Amino acid sequence: MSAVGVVESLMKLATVVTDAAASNTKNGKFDFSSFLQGGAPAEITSAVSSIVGALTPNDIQDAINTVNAKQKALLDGKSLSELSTDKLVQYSALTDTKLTLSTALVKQAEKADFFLWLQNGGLGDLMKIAQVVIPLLI
Amino acid sequence: MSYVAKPLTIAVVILVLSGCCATLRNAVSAYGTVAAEQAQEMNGLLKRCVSEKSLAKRAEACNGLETSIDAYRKSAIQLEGAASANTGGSQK
Repeated sequence: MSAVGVVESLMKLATVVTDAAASNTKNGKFDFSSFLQGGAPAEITSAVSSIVGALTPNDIQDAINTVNAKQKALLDGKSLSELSTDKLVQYSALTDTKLTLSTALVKQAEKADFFLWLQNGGLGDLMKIAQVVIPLLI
Repeated sequence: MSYVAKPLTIAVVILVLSGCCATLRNAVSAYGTVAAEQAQEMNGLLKRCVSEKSLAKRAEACNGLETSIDAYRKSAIQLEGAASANTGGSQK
């Protein structure tokens, strides 16, 4: 899966989780894992299964590697301090993307916390990096 | 969805989320490497934010720095609690 595909898949998953949380939160609490295991509509379990099944930790790591390659191309043999300001800002935006993807990897390894992350901030972070970074990666 | 298909779907989701190839420890270690890299870049952006002669470039550097600080702060908050993985503590 391409780096852009990984960001898009994470955003789709985050949207499903956030939508489910919006309509199923009771007393300020919502646990997507429990929701999946009991009472989730078939279309939600099917959508989540399809996205999660296609998005492995290796895909996220590959996306990080793609961002690394883009950063290396931006450097073009120079050091960071030799980059123009606009290129340094682009370079930094790519590192922000790696940080969000690294957070996704940690949350995926933490199992249930992955959904909680997507629900509580992951979607916002992904939308922010997508606006800046997808044009740089295409 | 049938009575068989739904539990199977949930099992697949849990299995994939268990991250067979990316342990929590490795993931936290990789995160730390990126965080250190970002701190170095923020230092570079801070210098440009202060010293750029062009106002437009200075604003560009300051905005980039602000965005990076925000990303750094948010991810650190989101990973609060995962630190035990680096000290050999129990995983969540």
